[in-house]
Amino acid sequence: MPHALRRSSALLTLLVVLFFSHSAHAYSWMIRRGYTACNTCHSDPSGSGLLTEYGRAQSDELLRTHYGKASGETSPLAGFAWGVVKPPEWLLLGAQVRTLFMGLKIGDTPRAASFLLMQADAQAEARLGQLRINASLGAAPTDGNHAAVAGALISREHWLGYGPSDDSFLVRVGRINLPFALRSIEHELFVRKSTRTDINDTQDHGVAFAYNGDWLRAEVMAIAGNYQIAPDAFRERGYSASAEVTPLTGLGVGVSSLITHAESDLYLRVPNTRHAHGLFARWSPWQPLVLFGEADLLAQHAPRLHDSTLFGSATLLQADLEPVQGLHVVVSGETATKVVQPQGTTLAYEKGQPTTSYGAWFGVHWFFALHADVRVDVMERSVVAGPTRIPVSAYLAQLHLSL
Amino acid sequence: MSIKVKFGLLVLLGAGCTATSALAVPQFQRAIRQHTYLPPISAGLDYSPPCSVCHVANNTGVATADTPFAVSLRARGLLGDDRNSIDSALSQLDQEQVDSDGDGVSDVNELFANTDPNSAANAPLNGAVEQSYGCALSEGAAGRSGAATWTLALGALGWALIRRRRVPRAS
Repeated sequence: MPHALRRSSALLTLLVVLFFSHSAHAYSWMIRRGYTACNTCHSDPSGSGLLTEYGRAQSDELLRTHYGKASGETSPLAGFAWGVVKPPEWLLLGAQVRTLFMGLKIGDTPRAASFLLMQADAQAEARLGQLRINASLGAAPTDGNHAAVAGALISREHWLGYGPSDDSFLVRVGRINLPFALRSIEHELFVRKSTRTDINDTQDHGVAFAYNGDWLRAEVMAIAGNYQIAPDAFRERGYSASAEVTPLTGLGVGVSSLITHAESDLYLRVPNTRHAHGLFARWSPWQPLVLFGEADLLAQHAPRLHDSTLFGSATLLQADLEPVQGLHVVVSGETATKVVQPQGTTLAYEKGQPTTSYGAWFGVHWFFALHADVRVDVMERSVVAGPTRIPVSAYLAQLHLSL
Repeated sequence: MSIKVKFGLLVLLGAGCTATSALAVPQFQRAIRQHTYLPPISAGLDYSPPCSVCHVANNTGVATADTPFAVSLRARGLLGDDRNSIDSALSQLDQEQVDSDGDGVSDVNELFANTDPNSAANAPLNGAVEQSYGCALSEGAAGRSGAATWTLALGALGWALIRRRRVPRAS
């Protein structure tokens, strides 16, 4: 590549990263197509985020709806910015915007409508032989985000990686998505919120080792804390790990484990050691259908709060039906049992109070064109708040555009 | 050092810098404090509750008022764009003696007792150390503007490009 062009490309990338605003893609249902590994399509070995060149091709061939007969060849429009900008081979680029219109009703109050810019990120990865340099940068609607770099400027991920060209393993250091169970784009699911392992803003700094083999993928991360939160007492340190085996085509079964400690828990504001250990599975018995299940045991040991360790749980059952390529009907059911809810010296459930929140989601998700999809969801929840339950219902409409 | 390496390092540098405090929603803090001076509650608070009383982990982004206390307020009519809604929501919360964290003390009484209505750990609210957000590289220099750091990063990129132009390339 000519020197000047390479330089221009680097400068352009930096400008895109700085002034435009990626989606945290995470489509575990790709198992219906026989894809159990994540790193064939994503730069993150456990999935989500920046696409590889192969991933871009698959998003055209397997993800979106085709109108009429498919040509069988990848559209040139599948490239970055509809193929208008052709980055050099060593550079992966992506940029995404996701907007949300939400109607939310809590309790007996009137439904309140709001419009949110959920995501406005760009992400780039330079692959220099066995070295990888990856960073995302974006804008949040307001200050005060766990991924904030400065003000409303956020960086969910930024890491240095080292691994062989066959992608069998990757060692990374930096701010990384925590490896834990099902990587889902629905960051509000109880399983993701309760374990604090979503791909929205719960990434931590640390060192991670990922392995991708024929029938096993696994990642373990030593967590040093989120260095975009201060003071240090709020940083959780420990480990997070996840492993999935694929004994049969279309079936993945995995285990996850996480233990962290913070001197000042983000929620409790007292010293707390937090555990999450669970099982998960994804199964496609018939290509249009994928079933997901996750069950996590939660535990908290906060000596200032209670003498003993308290236990809770979070579960998810989800079905994804794709009757026509690109059109998904998603039904989810979920529970979350609170870990800390003492009533004086007696635990809440011993007083007959509710401890388990329930939720049900119904959504239609349509990848109607290259680089574009829309999604409509209805969510109904019964949320435990202290000794009472509060009904919460929401209508969500999302538009997602990517480059 | 090749331009590729420089580019990558600059992106990492840029993504790694500056510290900032979370944006507060002071009108709501003031409203909570003022409300407690209204009858029938006469004693009043002698402190402004921290943002984290409503915003989980002091994350004051849009649609983040999700603490148990905030959910209880929202279930009683609190709207994010209507400061006046907090008065009626707090009154209702007080009348119903809502106890969002289930520790046996009502939320409003917890505010007066200077304890967190969201957690039975009862950490004090007044003088609570709040989270701030931004890169730890400049943690010791809180208040340094993000713009300054980004200007430095862009300046460094410009300098690297200019310097590269001046250095003759080996044929």
